[in-house]
Amino acid sequence: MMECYPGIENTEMFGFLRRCMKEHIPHHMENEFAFPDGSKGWYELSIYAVPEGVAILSQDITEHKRAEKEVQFKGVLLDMAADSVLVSDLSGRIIYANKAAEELRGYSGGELIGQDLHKLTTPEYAQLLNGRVAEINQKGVLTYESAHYRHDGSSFPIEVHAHLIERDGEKLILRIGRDITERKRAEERELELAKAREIDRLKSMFVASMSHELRTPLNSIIGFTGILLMGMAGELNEEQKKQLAMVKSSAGHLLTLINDVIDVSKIEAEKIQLTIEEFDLSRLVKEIKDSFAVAAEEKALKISVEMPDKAAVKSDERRIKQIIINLVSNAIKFTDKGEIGIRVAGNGKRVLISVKDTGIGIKNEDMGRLFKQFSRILVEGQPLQEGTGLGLYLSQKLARVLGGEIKAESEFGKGSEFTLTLPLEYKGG
Amino acid sequence: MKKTSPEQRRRILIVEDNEKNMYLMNFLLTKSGYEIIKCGSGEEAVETAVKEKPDLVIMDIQLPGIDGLEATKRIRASEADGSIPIVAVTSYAMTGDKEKVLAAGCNGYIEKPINPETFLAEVQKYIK
Repeated sequence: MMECYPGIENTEMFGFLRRCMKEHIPHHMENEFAFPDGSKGWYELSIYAVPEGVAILSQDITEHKRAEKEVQFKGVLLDMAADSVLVSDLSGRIIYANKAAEELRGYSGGELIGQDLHKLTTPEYAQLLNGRVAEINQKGVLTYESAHYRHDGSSFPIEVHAHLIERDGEKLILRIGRDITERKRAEERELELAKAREIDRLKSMFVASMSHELRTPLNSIIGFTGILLMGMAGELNEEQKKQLAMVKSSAGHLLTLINDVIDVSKIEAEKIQLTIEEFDLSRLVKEIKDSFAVAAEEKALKISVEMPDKAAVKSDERRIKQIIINLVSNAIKFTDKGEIGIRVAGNGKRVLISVKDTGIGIKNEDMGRLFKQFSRILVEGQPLQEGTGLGLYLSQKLARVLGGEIKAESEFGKGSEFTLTLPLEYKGG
Repeated sequence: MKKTSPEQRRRILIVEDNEKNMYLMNFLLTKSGYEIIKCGSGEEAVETAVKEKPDLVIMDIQLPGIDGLEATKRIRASEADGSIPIVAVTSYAMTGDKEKVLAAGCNGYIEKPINPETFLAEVQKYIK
């Protein structure tokens, strides 16, 4: 041998050969070698002691080695996956668990192997497990939600994609699971939000239909009071006229309140309908000014208007009218002497309508509450003015729906100025 | 207020299911010399309008059975020339539906609550 293989006495293998001959212990070894094309291969060498000396069996195990490496590599991949991967038999006994499966449940080092999946599942889902296994067995795949226990006894929701697989003729189930705690939370939050929105919508619908019912009797109160005041049903004396005028005024106030409530509920239910048309803002302002002539005269107030002859605006005329009427009626309400100035000006893209008065003004600390609903500002020494507490709140909401805004400036004791700015052409709120 | 002689009296069909509103409009219009035909439902209104050919129909929109919009459409469908003026009486909540009222075939609308001071002038606008 030493003649055939010079230098063999210095190799590791020679040591094995001698030991095998002396001690009669078989020896196996695996070695790497290079094929002629340079690729790596593996061979296995087994040395047995036989009566004649030693027998050396050599075998190429390159394919086997490659397959083994592949399995190792796939194991590494599975361990790197963020999803839990569990393989069990049909009875639920776990035969494989990747690293994520262990970490998710607070286990380590193969502790899940051999455990019963039924016991790792919370009772409400555990009772469904056998039915699901039957379904997986039948369909081959199944996706379902479940809840699994952690090592510490706590549980978490999990979404499972199950696949029927086969190994050596044995049916197994591969379950890829993902912790869906976050998703469940988001779903719950979404559900709560939807519920809140629904309640809000119902409330607005209730207010809208209730308001309609409230208004029906007002139709005859306002109508018949008007007829009586016109003397169409017979002559009235001065006292009767005075009292009926009070009924009419109160009914009008109630109507405004109901209409405001309807508008607020519509805006809040996002159900307000706009009618967008081009109209002349200057004509509208003139009409509004004229409609307040009597009210202004009663308080000896002058209404002055500064505006171009024509101001074409494309928006909802009715809603803009409502806002300006609210601003002018507020100005008259809170002004005892002096004047109300209405000004209209444009800059090519936006139009500005300002209503300025010489009234009691607003204290700095009250400015923040101006546009809040049901907030009414009481000024010492002044009677609380008749109002709904909805006017400015609604006006501001309407202005925003129309893509504009109302701003207020005031000096207490000197007067206030409310400025409504709007796009010349409505292009969405 | 212009009074016309009985033989020339203009006839107005009022379609309204609320008794008090009916009384109110009837009172105002009768006092002003109009002859009034009353209907309490949409179905009745269609039949009466086609048969009587009034000078004006005042149509409430919210009615039991077919509503004022549907009644207007049916009147328009059964008329040869579509010449009867129809004015809708809408409540404030309906004002967003101005287009619907006009699309149904109404010539215009009067808003509730009715203002007796302006009602007659508004009605006159629609009578030919």
